Amino acid sequence: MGHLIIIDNPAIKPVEETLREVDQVLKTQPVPDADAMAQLVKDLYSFGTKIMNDAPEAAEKLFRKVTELDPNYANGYINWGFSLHKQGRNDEAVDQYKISLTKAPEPALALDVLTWLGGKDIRRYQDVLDVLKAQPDLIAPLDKEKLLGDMEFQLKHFSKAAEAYECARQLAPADPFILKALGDVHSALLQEAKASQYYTQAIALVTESVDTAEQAISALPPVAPGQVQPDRNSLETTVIEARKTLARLHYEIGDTLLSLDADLEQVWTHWKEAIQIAPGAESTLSIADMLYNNGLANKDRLTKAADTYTTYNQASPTPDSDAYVLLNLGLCHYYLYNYPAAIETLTKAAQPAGDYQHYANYWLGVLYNSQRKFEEAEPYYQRAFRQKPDEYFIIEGLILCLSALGKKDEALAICQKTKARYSTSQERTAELTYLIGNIHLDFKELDKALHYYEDALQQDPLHVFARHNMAHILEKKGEYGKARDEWNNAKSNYLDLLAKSTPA
Amino acid sequence: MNLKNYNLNDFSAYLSSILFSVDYDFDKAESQLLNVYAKEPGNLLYVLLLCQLYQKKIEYCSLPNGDTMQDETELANYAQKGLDMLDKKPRTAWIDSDFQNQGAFLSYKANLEEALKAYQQAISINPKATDARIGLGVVYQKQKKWNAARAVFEQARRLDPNDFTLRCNLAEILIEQDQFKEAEEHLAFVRRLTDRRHLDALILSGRLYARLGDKARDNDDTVEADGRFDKAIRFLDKAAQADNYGDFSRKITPAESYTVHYLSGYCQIRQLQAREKKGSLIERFNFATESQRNVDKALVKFGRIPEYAHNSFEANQAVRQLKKYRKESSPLKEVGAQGLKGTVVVILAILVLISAQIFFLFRETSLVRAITQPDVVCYVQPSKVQPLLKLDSAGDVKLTQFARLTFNHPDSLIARWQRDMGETIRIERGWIENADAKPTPLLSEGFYVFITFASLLFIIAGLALPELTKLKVGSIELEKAKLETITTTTSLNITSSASAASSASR
Repeated sequence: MGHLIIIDNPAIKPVEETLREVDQVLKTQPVPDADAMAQLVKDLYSFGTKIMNDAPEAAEKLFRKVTELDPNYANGYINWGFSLHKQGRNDEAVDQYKISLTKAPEPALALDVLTWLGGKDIRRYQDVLDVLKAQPDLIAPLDKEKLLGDMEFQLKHFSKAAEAYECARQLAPADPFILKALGDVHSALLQEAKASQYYTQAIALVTESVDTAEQAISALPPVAPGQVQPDRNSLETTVIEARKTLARLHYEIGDTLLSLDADLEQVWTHWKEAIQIAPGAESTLSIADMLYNNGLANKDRLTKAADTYTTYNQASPTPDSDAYVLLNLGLCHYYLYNYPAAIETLTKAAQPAGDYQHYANYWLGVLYNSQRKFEEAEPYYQRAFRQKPDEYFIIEGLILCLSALGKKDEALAICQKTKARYSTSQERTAELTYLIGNIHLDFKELDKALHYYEDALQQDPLHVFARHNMAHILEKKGEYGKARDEWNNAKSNYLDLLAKSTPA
Repeated sequence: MNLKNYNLNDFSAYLSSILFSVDYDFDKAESQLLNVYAKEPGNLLYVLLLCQLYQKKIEYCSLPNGDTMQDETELANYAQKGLDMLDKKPRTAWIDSDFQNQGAFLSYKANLEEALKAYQQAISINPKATDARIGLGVVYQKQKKWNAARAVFEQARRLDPNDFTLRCNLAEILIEQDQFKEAEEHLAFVRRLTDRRHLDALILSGRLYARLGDKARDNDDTVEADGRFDKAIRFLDKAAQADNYGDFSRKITPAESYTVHYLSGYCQIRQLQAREKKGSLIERFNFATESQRNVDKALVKFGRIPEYAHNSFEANQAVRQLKKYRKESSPLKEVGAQGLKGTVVVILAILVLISAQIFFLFRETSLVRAITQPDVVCYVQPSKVQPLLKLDSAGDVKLTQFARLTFNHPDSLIARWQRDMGETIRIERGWIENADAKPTPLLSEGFYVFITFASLLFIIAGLALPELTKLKVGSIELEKAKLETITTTTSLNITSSASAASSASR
């Protein structure tokens, strides 16, 4: 077993090869020694963990192997679940997460898993409750009570939620978030006075700690230049942290009120406070994100989101360095039709290399495209395409732009090249064949477009847009009977896909 | 299909567009679309689709009570929402599609002047915007600015020469401008490429040929008019089949259906009026029967127009007049019976004449004599038989029997006597009672002459009978004047509804 070295770099050694080698070694040594096996599991696990964000499909195979080799390794199941979640296979991910909870995971890890299961995306509230009932010692008692309260709250069992939060309060009387949670229960029960009382209590609790620390700082003797005063530093850190907590509290109160359909002004009161207290805190970014994500149809929310992102950016020790913030700020400007500001911000967002560079370039392309400035849009799309040649939306945007510029051959070449790279994936090939059909449709080459749509459907019979466009072309050609058949097929496809996308 | 690449709400929206524009399932489409609109109220596509849905619902759901008010309110409501949505974007940032959408929403709100400006702006930004040109053309059409509409549609046709709806729009305008030849070229193009399945092309072709028929009739070119009306009827009858959708470009709207029935009935009557009456009796008879069939067909077509239809008043009027016309001037009664009477008289007269000639020529033959001369009862006088009985007791029985017989001619009696009695007892002519009685012949020379002349007279009379019934045929002409009134009250409905027909497809 000692001969096998796991190279956790897919560029050097692909996952398939690694797994083949593992199988070969296991064949030659059917009963390996425990240490070697533990090392192998650890190596495979670490390889998988490294690649699971970028290559979740490959990581999934590694974690599958890890759990095969060590069926009691909770972390293996957790990361397996995560790689499935990254692929959008949430139901399968939930199964793996649940298995991981039966393998005695670390309490902190178990809490993460339970929080994810009971989070806003997955919403397996009852599952979490069942796990906590079956394994009461899985996580720390305080965490357990808080989580129980959260799950009961989500299930609208408000009295049970209140009971759980009260138990948590017994365990941590100074925790402002438990008071806030109790306030949430009363808000949900429309007992606004009581809810407000709890919120005030929670805010007062944190404000008091901020004040206390600030008073302590002011009580300290003044610092001479160049002099280091450890107490002051520590107190200042305490103040900063307490302010952040206070800001977080305000943010979460606002968030709860928003989820309970409270008036935006009421929510904004808390959020404004949070931004003022700690402009550079995570809570400010969360507020900006919340406003942006729910504000596309609302000018007021978008304006507030833009202001909040701006505040957060300016409060940063290194302004204009967070590409994510700049990207979202640029998009706020774009949706507010403030094109010059959007161009300026997105151009800044496109500077640093990273996860958001291709997005920034893509959106710059979209921005120029939406103003019919196709020639200015093209270089940005091209840049985004070079940075992420596999992203469908980038290929689609670039092709639209090239078609508008009359560069049919160039657009076709891009599709063909990308298609050649994915000859093994039917789904990807179908997407690209569909795009080729679109190019021909743009140039009014109906028969050619029809041919490509038929091809796309052969590769992926559920490609509803290819079918939709095919029916449209048949109608344009006057073949109404055939068109009608295709419309009916498209209808069934739409229904199937919608059913597929609806969470169980 | 990788669902991550798409907005799933768009799937629901596109599904609903199939539901309302292909299945005509407006309720399902409405709930689906309102659902996605609630999720993304800022999505302009959903608002546009909602407007299209309500527009279609208004066109296709004209119920007996004609209550489309709610849908009209919804249409105006969502069109306003669309305009409000567009207003959020600063006017300086507007591109051609924004102006085009504005034009569409303003058209839904029937604000044609403003819609016109919006479409013009869209075209000025993007001269290749075919949809904006079509929108502009439709607005001009609604304003009856035919020349402007035609120019815009022509430009759009140059951008997309194979667009069938565009060709139909052009044809409609050309019909309005009496440019029938060019209109037919466009319609023939669409009919040929769609295998006569494009509903607008069929309705417009019906309308075009109806107009062409009228024109030919005005020029007294009855044969041409007949053919054109016939064509119009065929196009319209085919268009009426789109009631079941089948493999037509779309389903016919109730309003279009009523117009098509009316126009078809109109053409049926016009065709009847256009047909030339030939002189011969048989041709006249056929014509009359054909006319009867046309009237029946027209009645069926007018009868398909329900009470709540926009043209029900005219249809009812036409039905009443046609029924009256049918009752008063049934072709069988007016033309067929007269023709039959004359023929029968001629045939009978000829038969009598021939018979008279035959009888006269062969009047001396026994057969003819037997027919033409009445029988005389002859028998042997009993006074002559008694002595004979004494002479021949053996022939007693025969004689006794013979004495009881009667004959219709003395010769017959003598022949029978000679056969029964043989040479033993010879009969004398004097023994026969009535032997010399002369029957009056039925066919005397005078009578023959009379019959001959009378027959000739009847033949002449029979042949001349249609001429005698000319007055009746004239009465049909008079009735046709009434039909004219049936077929001249329609033009308004035909025009307005056909316009609605072509706009329904957009």
